[in-house]
Amino acid sequence: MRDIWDFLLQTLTASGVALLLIAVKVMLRDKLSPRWQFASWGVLALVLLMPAGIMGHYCLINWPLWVEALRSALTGKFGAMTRVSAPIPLPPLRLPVSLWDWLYIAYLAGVAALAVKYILSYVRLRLALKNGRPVTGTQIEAVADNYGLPICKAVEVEGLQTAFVCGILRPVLALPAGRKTDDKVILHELLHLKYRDAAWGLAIAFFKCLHWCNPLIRLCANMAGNDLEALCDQRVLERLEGEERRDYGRILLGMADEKYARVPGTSSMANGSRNIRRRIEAIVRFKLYPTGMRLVSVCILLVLVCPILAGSRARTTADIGNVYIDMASARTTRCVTFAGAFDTYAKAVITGRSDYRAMCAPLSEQDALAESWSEDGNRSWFDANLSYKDLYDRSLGYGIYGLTENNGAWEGFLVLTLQSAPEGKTWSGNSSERWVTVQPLRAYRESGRWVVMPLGDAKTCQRDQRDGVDLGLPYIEYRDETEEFTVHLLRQVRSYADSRTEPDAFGYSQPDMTPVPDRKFLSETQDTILADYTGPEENRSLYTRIGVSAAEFKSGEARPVLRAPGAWESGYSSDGRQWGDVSLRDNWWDGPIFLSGGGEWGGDPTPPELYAADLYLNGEKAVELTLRPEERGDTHG
Amino acid sequence: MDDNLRRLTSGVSQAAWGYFFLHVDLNIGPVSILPAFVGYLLMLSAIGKLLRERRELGLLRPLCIILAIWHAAGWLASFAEINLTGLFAPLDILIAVAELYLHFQFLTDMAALAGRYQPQDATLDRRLINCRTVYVTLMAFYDILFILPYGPQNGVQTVIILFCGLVSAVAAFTAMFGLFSLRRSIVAGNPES
Repeated sequence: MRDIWDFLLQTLTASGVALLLIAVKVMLRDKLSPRWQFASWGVLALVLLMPAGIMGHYCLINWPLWVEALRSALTGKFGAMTRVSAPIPLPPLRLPVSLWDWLYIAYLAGVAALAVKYILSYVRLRLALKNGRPVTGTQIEAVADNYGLPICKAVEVEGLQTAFVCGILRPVLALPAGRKTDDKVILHELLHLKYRDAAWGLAIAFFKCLHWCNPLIRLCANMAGNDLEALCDQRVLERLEGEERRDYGRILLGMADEKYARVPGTSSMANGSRNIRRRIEAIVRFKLYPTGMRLVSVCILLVLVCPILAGSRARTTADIGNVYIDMASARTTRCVTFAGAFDTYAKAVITGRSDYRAMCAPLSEQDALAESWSEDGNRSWFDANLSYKDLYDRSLGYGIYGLTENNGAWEGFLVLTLQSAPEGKTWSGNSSERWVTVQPLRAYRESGRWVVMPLGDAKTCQRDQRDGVDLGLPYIEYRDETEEFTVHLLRQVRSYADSRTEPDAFGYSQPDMTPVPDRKFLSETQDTILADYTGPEENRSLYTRIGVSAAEFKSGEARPVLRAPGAWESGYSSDGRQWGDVSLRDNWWDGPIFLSGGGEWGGDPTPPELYAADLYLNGEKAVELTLRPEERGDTHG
Repeated sequence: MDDNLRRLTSGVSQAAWGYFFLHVDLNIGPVSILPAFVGYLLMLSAIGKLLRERRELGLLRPLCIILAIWHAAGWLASFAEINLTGLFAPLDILIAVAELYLHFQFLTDMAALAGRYQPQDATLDRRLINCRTVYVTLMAFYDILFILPYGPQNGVQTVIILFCGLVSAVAAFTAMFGLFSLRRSIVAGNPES
């Protein structure tokens, strides 16, 4: 915790779990034993020890959303994310300048003050015990022998109301001087000693210090302390019989009027009149607790622990029309995969919703997004950014072309299809020549979420769909040349999301426009082999057929053995091998010579390093080539 | 048949029918015609009648009332095609805990009753205890998988949830038939009835 917002998130997260635990404990107070009642606080301890909002998860209630919304509303800033790095307070990274910085300083001061108070009270107690008179009597040894319990140094101290154990590493049993202490009280304290309950008391005090200004956590700390005593009572009663149990109850009753102040690192049988009353009620229930409850106790703890520890993750934006809540919801609905970030960006562009854009926008962009929202009351981000927003054909969704990884970031081209030609352009109506917008994008990690930034403006272009690669859209070109021919292998990878809405009454479904933050892409790969004749005009007549066979390979590996293409055949195998052979008639010389085209679904979208290719002329293998990506292999045609 | 016996057999019958309502569901559209809250009301009535036999059953009354209210609310909401489950995670956990405890304790007590009233050498009590153990364990797994952050999102998780649901339903039906057997044993063990 580095600032007041971190603390707020941490303490609210713990409060939600504390409320649930209190509700469960109230419901099962008379049904499950004190052992379970104390163990259940472990759930809260785990939450208190786990940084809130870790990995974008929240416990039970979406506290990160509310903390972010409050933060934006109070500070007027949207470009910050609360991230708890540790469950304990850490010194601030800068000198206090704002009210919120000063509040954090006040919180730190509170933690320090309470810790000092606890330490001083413990030191004072130890000093008082030092002046106590050592007890060497046989009563303590007799009780310990009788019940098989460990013993420790014991002292008698003037003015003590009741016995207690003080210390964890070097415990001391303190007894009131001048009066006889009942065996059962000593048994109670020796059981505290055996189970190191003073350490639990210290842990409780630790959490109390950290969350000193949260009354709910303080209440839970007190309840946990009382449950610890009730558990010790239970252990005592398990070792006593008949009338002794009633005597024990009477002893507790005798303590009901005693004043008590719990000191960390100690355990005392007396813990305040109201708590004593509750413990006596628990003692009355001792024989009534149903037995054989181990299985259901464990099941209940698992049902509490698993969802709390696993946490939940926001999966969609709030969309309630309030800029603070909607923007906070967008920021805290983290894109957890790069595909999720691209998916969100694409849907933001298609739908024009700036809350979707905020989901995948870097923090530095959030203030501007919020401003565009506030000015006219709606999500107007795209009015200023894209002039084609009304032209997008939603039914065709989107595609990300040419995805490549670059130092942990992912880059690709977002391709969106237009319903008609842009202004000043024409379209024949042929689907293979539709107009699209192409925009280069980059997705990278920031503050535990994937974000997307455009690398340039969206441009319109027309598709040129043939067998294999669409020459109008981004692809990678591999090439090599001989003196007379240049061989090109074009590879195009389209990544896309396979999600559609439920079919309507007519059985028609559209791509689902709700962003999926943990999206995983499917991919489709298309390859085309082309050749150009670059030799002298008079040599053309020497060639009647041309063929190419190609396969992927890596530098340093053995060159693959390629099959010879049959006469006038082309093919594509699932292992990426492809081949084509065509007759060279007169009119085929006018442009690139198309040799083969094909593709596969779900193949490896990573572009290969190299292609091995054999060039066949007039049916004979002429030369072995190595096709390399162009210098800018990620450029599009 | 004296009053005590009548109360006892009626209580065990209601308990068995309670399990029937909890685990058999017939729907007209989104609305159940065998709503679960009726099952909990039957169990509540059974608890009242069996209290003299097993005082621990009294502890289950508040839980039965909470669950009956929750399921009645869910049933009413189903008319508006609203599903209360999943709306507020803490409430789902609270209800899951209440159900776990209720069924564990209830079937434990029914097994104890069976131990008292079954014919010699019969193993009805053991059968009820085994049903209880399987039922509660799988119900806990089912709850955990269902309450976990993303619910049934992949094939494996869905199959496990279906398996847990199916086997726990089989255990519940076995318990239900066991309770009907218990009723017959009680009647048979009292010839004057």
